[in-house]
Order: sequence, then structure tokens, then C-alpha cells
Amino acid sequence: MLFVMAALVFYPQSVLAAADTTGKVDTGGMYTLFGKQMKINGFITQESAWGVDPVYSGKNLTDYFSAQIEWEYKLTPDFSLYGINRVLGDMAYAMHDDTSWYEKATSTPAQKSRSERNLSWETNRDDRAGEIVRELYADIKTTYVNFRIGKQQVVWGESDGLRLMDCINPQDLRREFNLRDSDEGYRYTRIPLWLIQTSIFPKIEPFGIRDLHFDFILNPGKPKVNLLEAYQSAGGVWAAAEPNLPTGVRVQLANKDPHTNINNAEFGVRMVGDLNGWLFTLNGFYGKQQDFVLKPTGPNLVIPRWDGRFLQLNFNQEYAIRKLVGFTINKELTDIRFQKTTSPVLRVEALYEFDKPLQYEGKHTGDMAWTGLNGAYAGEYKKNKDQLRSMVGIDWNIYIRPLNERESFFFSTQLFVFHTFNQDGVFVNAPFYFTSKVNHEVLPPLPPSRDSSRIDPWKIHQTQKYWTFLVTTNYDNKRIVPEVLYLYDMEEHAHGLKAKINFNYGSAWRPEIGFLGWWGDTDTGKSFGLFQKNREVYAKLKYQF
Amino acid sequence: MYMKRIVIIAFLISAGLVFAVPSGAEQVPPWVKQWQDWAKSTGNQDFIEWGQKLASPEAIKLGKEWEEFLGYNAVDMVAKDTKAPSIKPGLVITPENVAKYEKELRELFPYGFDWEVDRMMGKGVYAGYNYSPLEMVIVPTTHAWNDRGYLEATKKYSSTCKIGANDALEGWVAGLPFPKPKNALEIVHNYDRLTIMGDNLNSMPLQFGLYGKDGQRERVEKIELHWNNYVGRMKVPPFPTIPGFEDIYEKGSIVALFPYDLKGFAAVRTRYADPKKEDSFVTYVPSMRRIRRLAGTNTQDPLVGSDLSWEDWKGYWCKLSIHPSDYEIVGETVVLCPSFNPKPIEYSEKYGGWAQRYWWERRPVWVVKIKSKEPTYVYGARVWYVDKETFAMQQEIFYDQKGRIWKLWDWCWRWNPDNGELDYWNPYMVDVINKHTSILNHHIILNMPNLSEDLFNLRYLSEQAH
Repeated sequence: MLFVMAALVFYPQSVLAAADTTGKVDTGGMYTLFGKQMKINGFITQESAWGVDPVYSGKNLTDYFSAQIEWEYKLTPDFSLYGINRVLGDMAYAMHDDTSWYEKATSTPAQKSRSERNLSWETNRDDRAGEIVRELYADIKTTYVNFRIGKQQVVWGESDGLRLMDCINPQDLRREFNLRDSDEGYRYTRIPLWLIQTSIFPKIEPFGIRDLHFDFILNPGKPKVNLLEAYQSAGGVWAAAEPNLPTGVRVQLANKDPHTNINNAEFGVRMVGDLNGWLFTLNGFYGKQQDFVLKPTGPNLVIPRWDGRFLQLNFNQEYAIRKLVGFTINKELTDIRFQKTTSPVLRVEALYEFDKPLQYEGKHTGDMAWTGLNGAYAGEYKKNKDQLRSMVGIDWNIYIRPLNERESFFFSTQLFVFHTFNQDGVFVNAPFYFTSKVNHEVLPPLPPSRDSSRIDPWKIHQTQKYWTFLVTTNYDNKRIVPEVLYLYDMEEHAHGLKAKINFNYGSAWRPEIGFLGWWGDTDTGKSFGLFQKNREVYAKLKYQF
Repeated sequence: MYMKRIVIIAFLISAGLVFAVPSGAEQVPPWVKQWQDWAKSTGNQDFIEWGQKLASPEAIKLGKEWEEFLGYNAVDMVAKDTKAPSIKPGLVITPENVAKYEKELRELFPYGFDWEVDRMMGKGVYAGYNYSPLEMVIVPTTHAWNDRGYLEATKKYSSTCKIGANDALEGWVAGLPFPKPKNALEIVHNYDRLTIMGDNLNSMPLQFGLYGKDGQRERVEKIELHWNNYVGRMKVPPFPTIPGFEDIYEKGSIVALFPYDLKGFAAVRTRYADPKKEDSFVTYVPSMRRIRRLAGTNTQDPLVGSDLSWEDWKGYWCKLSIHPSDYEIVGETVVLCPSFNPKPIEYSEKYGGWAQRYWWERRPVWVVKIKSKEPTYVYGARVWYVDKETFAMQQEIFYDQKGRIWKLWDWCWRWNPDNGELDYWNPYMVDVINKHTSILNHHIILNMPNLSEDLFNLRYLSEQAH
């Protein structure tokens, strides 16, 4: 009966489904439902990855399965509903259920009960990123004002790879860290939020500014946080591994995600315009931090010693207030040309964040103020500092005819500079702190412990620089698309690389093969060294409709 | 008394004839009559209907005005051409009988355009790749004309037009800048300023069918297309310029509908009037969920997975003051061209491929060669057939920098004789080097009143954003 009803109300839209020149019919995902236009598209993807780093060499690290439906129901020309429904899981949990290497790779003894199977399916109760209703919102258009109300992504900024002004939605980094979809703008890993977005189009051109409009974003009080699990607390081979700890010591992190509360409301405002070819935005945001600092809550003895450890260091994950202003600009620099053909596009983005909380080490490395164990720094586990984060990027299509007669190579490079003002003292990314020598100690080094060879923290440098480089082109009428993305942490001399080839034959199947890799200090887990163990080759097969 | 009756009867009959027969029915111009007579002789209803369409008072009036303005009509010009006598109206040339007419056909496709014959025979550049064979239905030559708006604007403004530095057009306001072109560059400027054959255009959807080496359709892509002229307007007020946009020639916007990995990509392209100023190309990239500026100078890459680049949009969309070339009229002759087809091209599975069947006729053309001066430009040269009555390009050959034939393009025009509106039926482009074909399936509406500016700005892109 249901199918009969569906057939009565849900049929290909006549004009768009008309046979083409070959007589073949494609609806293009266009249908009519109760007399209104309905678009439905989506995909089903199966992927598998195998480790190439000695830690997991030849191991089948992940087998992600995802199915996504994206739909839009246009009730009137000015009112529509939009949604994305998704299921995402990792079949590796089922496939490697009984293997010891997989159990070890996906959990620590201390966190086992929390981590087991958390990432097997997004639908798991303990997974904090349930995405069956990934997005759901209403679009309302009027002459001067548009509203978008519901669960959505709002993407600001000009940067690729590192997120600066893209500050509204947090990100799920638990699968393949930042290389899973960095080349696709994080569309699959950004975590949608329940928001009210209001866009005002005044239809005026003050000072010659064209396309002027204003966006106002309101999160009524349900913020979320970036998901990147230190200590494998949520499991998964891609969780940052448990750092070096003294024998008999373990660390307990208490999740203190911001609750749903009107006091946790977030606000964003943006002005957009085009002044003589300079596309610019001015942005402001007030809300919650999406990354935590550790707040020590004191150690305690573990009785009984069920995991072989007797001392537990306890921390709360603390999410403070975030206040920032920034701008973005872009322009094509047409006075510069490559062999009289194409010009580069300049992208610039900068933000100034007020009172950003940073984990405080003390005046000297080894003071360990953040642990709460150094009486000289009582309560000084963090300090708030202003920080400037900026990016200058160039995109350039360049023709290299001997390598590709038909199409250009797209080159994109970016330099990121982060600068912390008045950085008196040492600041650290706290969990990644001890060298492997500490594993042989029974007790942790007690503060102050300056000049200890057991301490080599991943520092927050006063000026931190990153460089990215991307190149891609198309062969065979865009059916073969190779792409290489490279990331470089200029302070920690750590590297990341993603190389892939997409095969776009036909309209439905989209195979992809590739390599993800990181290089860095794996001992104390600095920067990309955290994920060196996860270097992998992968294959994906997507069916889209 | 008897004589008086006869005189009265004769008078009444004469008066009756005057009122019973539409005025002008006996006065249809020869260029209509020859079409109607031939159509009637075939008994084919499509031809007869088209003959009637050509004979509407509005069509005849406009046809006469264009003829008077240009000083010629195609029917008379073609009548003087005596080559290929076997290729006559009523003949249907197919891959099965083309051998019989090959020699004469090649005479009717001079300057290299006999690839149309190769296309039917699987010879030359089509050897091993004849998956889009033709059925040519030969019809009489039509006296054709372009839009009344172009006629009136050309009369009003063309006297101020001239070629300036870097081959740029100067003094243009609206219409054809050079209705009596003296050289190839003026012909090229004429076609450039015909833009989309109107003030605005929608194609919803525009479908790209992409065909691989085996002739099978390997992909289909669909987009919504909008286009708007901001200067040179002659059909939809305001005329001739939209206030506040005097610096912009035209804007186009697209949003991709299908397939999924393309869906949602949206772009607004702005072509500025300043001959040295590059296009603006602002996009919404769904994978990034972000509005992103791409290089407006990047006009030479293929669009989506097709064989067309921005340089090829509407046959030619090169900013010629930026990409210098030599322009030459290599010939003025009568050739065989796609005619004005009142119905879309018919497709059928025949001759080992998807055969196209449409009307062809002899037309007077300029043959224009554009040879790039830039060794880095995507094409070494292009050769066009340009219709002498409508100033529209009919067919095109693209040569690569090595001098090889690379791409070939033709289409037929949908034409409304009443007002002269032209738009595209199924542009066809084949890359004979890489053996790949793109067939565009337009659904065009021209000259819509009140087309919103919100189809051509950042708001449009932000509204496409999901």
C-alpha cells in the first residue's frame, strides 16, 4: 500500500526527466512529491585502508562504510526544507573482533569500557556525533532577508586545511585526523549545529561595494566541541595514542562538554561585499572554545589496581569562552600572468582571538604548572593570551602542456602564521609531554623537573608557521583526477601528505585510491608525529545517485 | 442590359476576390514563395507548416526590412551558385547513400568543413570514430534574419563603432557594430556582440551528454544556466544599459544539478566592458561549502567533463583584446549549413551510433580564420562559417598549436521568423584527437521580463549553498 501511495505522489519531474538526445532518461534526482519539487541525491561508499607504517604494517586499519542521502523539498519558491541523513560505521570492528592487535590499537586498558566499539557506528549510544539526522533545516527567502533555521554547517573563511575563520562548527577528527576530507573542505567531518542564520541583503552599494550583505548566526545554546581523542578514550585506531607515562601511572580525562544551556549561546556576525574585485568579509564571533585545556582536579590512588596502575592523575576537559574578530579577502591578480595565460588568485585571512586559554607550563620547561602538582603555580594550569592567526594563500591554474595537453594544473599554496602576544613563559600541548624514558620510571618526575631528559613537551611556539601545497589536474575529460596535498609544520618539522587518484567514469561509480601519511616526532607525539603510526594506503568505491 | 449584368457580375466577383483573399497573399516575396511551392510539392506537413510560418505578415515585414538594410538576401545569392547540382531540396543524404554524393558534398563544404562528409562516411578524422552519423535533410535556402532588436539598434548605433587599440571594439552601444563588415575582425566583433542572441537567457536545464571512444554515452551532466546582458540591450528594458552596471557587458550563472559529485556547484561569471579587464569568476564549491573566487583568466580548461571551454561558450567567447590573433577572411562562398529547424534534432540508433537528423540548406557565408598569436593559447587557429544574413556562426573547426584538427562544432538554430529570435538546438562538439563528443541539450527561454539580478550575484551563490 505504501508503495502504491508513493508511486502516486512521487514520480520523476517531467521536464527534467525528459529523454535526452540519446533517448535515455535521467531524472537527475528530481522528483515531484505531492505536487512540489523534491531533489534526492546521495551515495553509498565502502572504503578500506591498510597500514604501511611498521606499527601497523599490512594491517587492515579501517573499513569505513557510509551511506548518505541529501534531499531538498521545495514547498514554495521561497520556502524549502533541506536535509542530510547519514550512517557511518567502521566494519573493521566486526572484521577484527577477535584480534589482539586491533584491541590494543583501539583502546587503552584504562579506557577500554568507554572506547570499545564507540567508533564502530555513529549510531552507537556513546558516540557523541550521531549523524542519522546530520543536517535538517528550513530555508526562508524574502526580498531583503533570508533565514536558515535548523541543524546546519556554516562555513566562513578562505583557508584550506587549517581552519581559521571557519569557526562556527566544530570538527570530528577521529577518523584519519585532518586528512580525511581536508581536500574536500571538511564537508563530511564538520559537525553540524542547531543554528539560526539570518542573511540581510540591503540592496545598496555604499562606497561602491557590490553584493553587500550581512550574516547573523545564533546558536541558542547547544555548542559542540572538536572530537580528537587523546588517550584513545573514544577508541579507534585514529585516536591519538596514549602518551608516554611513568610506570603505574594513568591519566583520567573527564569529558566536560558544554551543556545545552542558554548561557552557552553563541553569536556570529559577518559582513560580505565586493569592492572593485576584492571580495571581502569582516567577521566576529562570541561563543565557546572547541578545544579543551586540561584542568587538574588532583591525583588519587587506584584501588584495586585492576589495570596494573596505582596512581591516577585526574583532569577535567575545560572549554572556555572564545572571542574573535577577523577578516578575509580575495582577488585575482590579473597583472601577474603565467605565459600570458592565467593569473593567480590571492587569498588572505586573519583573525585576532582575545584571551585564548593556553596550557601553562610555567616560566621554565619542567615546571609542569599544568599538572597542578607544582605549588609555585597554584591554579595556574592555563593562561589567557591574545593570539593572531593568519593565512596568505595563492591559487594558480598553470598550463604545463607537455604533461597535460588539455587541462591546467591547479596549484594552491598557503602560509599560516600564528602569533601569541605577550607569551611570557612556556606553553604546551599538555598530554604530549614525556619522552619514552619515562616509561621506565615508577613515579612521574615531580615538578620542578628542569633539564630532565624525560621531558620534551610539544610546545606552543610564540610564532608558529605552517605551509601547505596542493596540486591537481584532470586527464581524459576529467575522468582521471590525480591530486597531491602536502602539509608542513615549520616549527616541529613535521609533514603530512595525501596523494590520491579519482576515477570519474560514468555518472554513478567513483572509485578512489590513495595514500595518507605523516612524519614527525613519534616519541612525544609532537604535531603530525601523533599519527605517523597511521600511514596508510586506501581504496574507496562510491556509488552516487 | 445583358452587358450591364455582365459588368455588375464581373465587378462583384472582383470585389469578392479582393475581400476574400488576404491582402498580400499574392504578394508573398519570392523568397517565401519558393519555399512554400517546394513544401507543397513534397506534401510533407512539417515543410508546409514552416512555409506558412515564413509567410506571416510579421515575418515578411521583418524580412523585408533586413533585406533592405543589408542590400541582399540569401535566396538570391544562393540562386547564383551552380555547384553541386545534385544536392537539391528534398534529398535526404544518409550514410547509406552518401557515397553517391560525396564529391559534390565536399564541394559544398570547402575550407576543411567536409568533416561533415567524413562524419557520415567514417573517413578522415572520423575514421574509427563515426558514432554520431548524420542524416541531412536538404531544404531550400531560407531568407533569414536576426532579431528586430538587433536591426533597430544597429541602425541607431553602428555608425559610432570602430576598431581601437589591441583590436578592441570602441564606440559600441548596442546591435551589430559592423553590419557591412570590411574584414574578418569586424565579423568576429559582430558575432561577439550578438552575445546570446538576446538580452537574457535561461536554459533549464542545459544537459551535457558526454560520449566516449566507443560512442557510448559515458556521463550525463545537468546544469541550470542563466545569462543577462547589462549593456547593448534592445529587447527588455531598460535600454540600452542597466543603470549602475555600465562597466559590465554580461553575466552568466550556473548551478549544477547532476551528477552528485557535481551537484551544487554554482558560479557567477562577469564579463567586463573594459577590453583589458579579465572576467570575474566567483563560485560556490559544495565540497568546501564555501564561496570561492576562481581565476577568471582560466578560460581555457574544459567545462565540467565536456569538450567545451569558456573560450568556446556560444561558439566563441574569447576576450580578443587579451588574446591577440590574426583575423582573415579566407573565403566568401555558398556552403551547406544546418538550416533553421522548427523542431529539435531527431536522434535515433542507426548506422552504429546515435544518428542526428536535421535540415540543411545552402547559405552564403564568410569563412573566417582566427590564428592565435600566442604560442601558449589553447588553440592554434579556428575557422568559422559565418552566415551573411544573421551574422551567426554556423560551424567551427578548432586547430591545436601543432596545426592538427582538434575539435569540430556545429549546431542548428531554432528561429522565430516573426521576430527573428535565434537560439541553439543541440550544439555538438567532437574532439577528434581524443575521440570524445559532447552534445548539449538546451531548453532555452530568451528575453524574459524582470529577470532578477539575484540570479547573478553573491546572493545567488549563497542561496545555492548548503
